[in-house]
Amino acid sequence: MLSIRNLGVRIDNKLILQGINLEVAAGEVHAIMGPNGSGKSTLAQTLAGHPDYQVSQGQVLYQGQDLLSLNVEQRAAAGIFLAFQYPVEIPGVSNIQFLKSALNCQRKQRGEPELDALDFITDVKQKMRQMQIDEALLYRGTNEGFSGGEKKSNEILQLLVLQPQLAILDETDSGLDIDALKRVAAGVNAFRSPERALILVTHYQRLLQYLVPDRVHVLQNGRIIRSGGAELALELEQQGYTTDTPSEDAPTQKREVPDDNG
Amino acid sequence: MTMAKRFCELQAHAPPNISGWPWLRAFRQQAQRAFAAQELPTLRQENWKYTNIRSLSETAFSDAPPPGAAELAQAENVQQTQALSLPGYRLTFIAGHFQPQLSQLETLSGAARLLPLKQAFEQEQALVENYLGSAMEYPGQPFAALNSARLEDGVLLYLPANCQLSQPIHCLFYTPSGPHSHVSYPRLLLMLEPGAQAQLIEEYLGDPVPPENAAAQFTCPLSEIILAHDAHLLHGKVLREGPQGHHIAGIHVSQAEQSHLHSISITLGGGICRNDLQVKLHARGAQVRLDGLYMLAGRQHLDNHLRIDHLQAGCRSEVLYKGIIDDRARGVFNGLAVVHPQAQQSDARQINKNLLLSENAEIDTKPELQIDADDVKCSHGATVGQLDKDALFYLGSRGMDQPTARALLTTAFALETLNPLSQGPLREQLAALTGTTLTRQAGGKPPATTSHS
Ligand SMILES: Nc1ncnc2c1ncn2[C@@H]1O[C@H](COP(=O)(O)OP(=O)(O)OP(=O)(O)O)[C@@H](O)[C@H]1O
Ligand SMILES: [Mg+2]
Repeated sequence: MLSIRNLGVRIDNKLILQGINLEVAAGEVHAIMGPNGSGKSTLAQTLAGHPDYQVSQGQVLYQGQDLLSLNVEQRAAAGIFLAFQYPVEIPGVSNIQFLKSALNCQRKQRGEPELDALDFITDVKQKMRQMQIDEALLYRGTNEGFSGGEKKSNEILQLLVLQPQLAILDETDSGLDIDALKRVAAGVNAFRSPERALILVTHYQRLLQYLVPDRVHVLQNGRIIRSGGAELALELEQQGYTTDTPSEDAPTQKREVPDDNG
Repeated sequence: MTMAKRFCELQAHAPPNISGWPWLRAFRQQAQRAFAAQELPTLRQENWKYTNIRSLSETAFSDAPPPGAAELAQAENVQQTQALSLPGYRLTFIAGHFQPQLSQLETLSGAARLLPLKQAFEQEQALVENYLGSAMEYPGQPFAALNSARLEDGVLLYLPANCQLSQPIHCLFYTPSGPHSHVSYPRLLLMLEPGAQAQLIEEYLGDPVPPENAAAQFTCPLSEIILAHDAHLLHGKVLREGPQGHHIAGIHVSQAEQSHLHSISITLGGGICRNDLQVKLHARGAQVRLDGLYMLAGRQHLDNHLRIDHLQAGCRSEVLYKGIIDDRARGVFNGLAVVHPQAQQSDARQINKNLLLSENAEIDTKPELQIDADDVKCSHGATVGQLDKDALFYLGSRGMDQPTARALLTTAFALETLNPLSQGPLREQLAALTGTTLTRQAGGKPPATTSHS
């Protein structure tokens, strides 16, 4: 489904990603872990099509097509979804207006008819109940004044409403309480199917207990320095990134300390 | 003959039908002298620093003749397809001439009056004579003097104590485009006695698609608003002239104790446009809220000049003006709140926020405070920026194309100015008008796939 080959990315002429290789097949779950500043969000944002991230080398194929030639909204319509590490506040655009506009724009790009307004609102409300998001948040400005956890849950609501093919979750688990984490995991599990794939950027093993990854990759200094099965996440949680890394030029990194709210 | 020269020969041109009233003739002559005593403003004057009216003063505008059949039909079409559609009373004017067949008027009960000003000269002379010119001053206001020297028709609203109109009054001023340059001077005189309440909307419309040979048109309205103790007025102004429609307007307000004015001013189009809004808070507890929204494109020019005088203690003024400026358009905001020495416990707030959508768009903003009392709460601020890039990317990442995303963000920015309006047809229609204007503006841009700084 997704094939990243020797991807290099710079921002403001600073090289951040230096030759990433990653193959994600339909139905798979991949976890990307790694120290702060290693380039995880850069990879996620580049895949989503952020114009500030300049691709300096390599290519990305998504469902056989050249992903990098598509702009951000075309990628979304093609089924790519990024749950932001820091969801953006959009004052004055209500959550419901946001969702409706997004969905209809995607449908229009795919040549599908607009959704019936009643079907749409029924669907959204059902998914809000599933995520236990207060219905009042539908009529507030998108993410405006939402708590950290509400913002993350709202990203997953968008995922459920927009029904993408490849979802990239950038630290959606950070800042969630235990129950919210379970709901997010349940929401994402409901989204999973043999045709869909998932990339989870996370610092913690906890989410991976609910969403067991097929592969775990360690990103450091803009490179994937290790890959393994689900057990690698557990090992990293216990030992940190430095103890067992084969890369000798990696600078010393502090071990991630989990949030104490979970 | 240029505007300046022509205006100095005014006496000879006094319209015969009202020159018969000696008091009115005297009023106009005095205004004419006040106008002649001032120069037409130039960029050298601080108050006119950013608004060049030279092209106006060099155009020979003649008095607009009464409309012919073609203009009447066009006005009817504009009224049905372009104008706000509000319940209640409506007075329609074409190039300053009242059109009874396009209006919706009924006699108000008791002492309340709503009628064309020309009719009021005959039927309500005492009212007009008593109030005309009472809420304005000529010094520094050449166009108020000009309107007073030339006024012929307009609107008179008089509400006696505790008279509350539940339906809005819609005053529609349509300026037809054509090969000749015309000028009109609408005058509105609004008096609300103690406890009275009303909503009045002034709407200025030109032709949405003017013909190719369209000449410059000029509208120079003046509104006087007198609010007695505890009177409440919602005053709306929608300015949507064509690109050849120039507009220099004054709104002068005098407020008594505990009176409330909520003014909402929306400018969507025009050539060279200026609004001078002057509010005097004369007694304790008077409150004014001035909200404004301007959406400028092409080569439009809009100058909003506000001045609020806190003359006595315990008054409150709140200003929120927001602008969205595109292409080569230019906006000017100048808001001055003056807190006079007796005006302790004044509360004066002013905010002006602007979005510039193109590199060539320009805003000159200057919110000012002049405070001569010590126990006051005052604040003012201005911002100028572009659309938030992170927000645009976020919307794009959810599948929204650039025009949709831009329209959504600009509309959200704009609609904040309508929040204080209560739900109802006026708010709905202003919101719809704002939405369509911005969607059209955003849709006219090529879809940008890279950065937009
Ligand atoms: N706009 C920018 N200008 C300069 N450097 C940037 C910019 N954006 C990101 N970087 C740098 O790129 C590097 C990678 O950042 P990135 O956000 O991808 O890290 P991350 O792995 O997601 O970290 P975290 O775990 O803290 O979220 C960091 O050193 C960061 O400072
Ligand atoms: Mg990150």
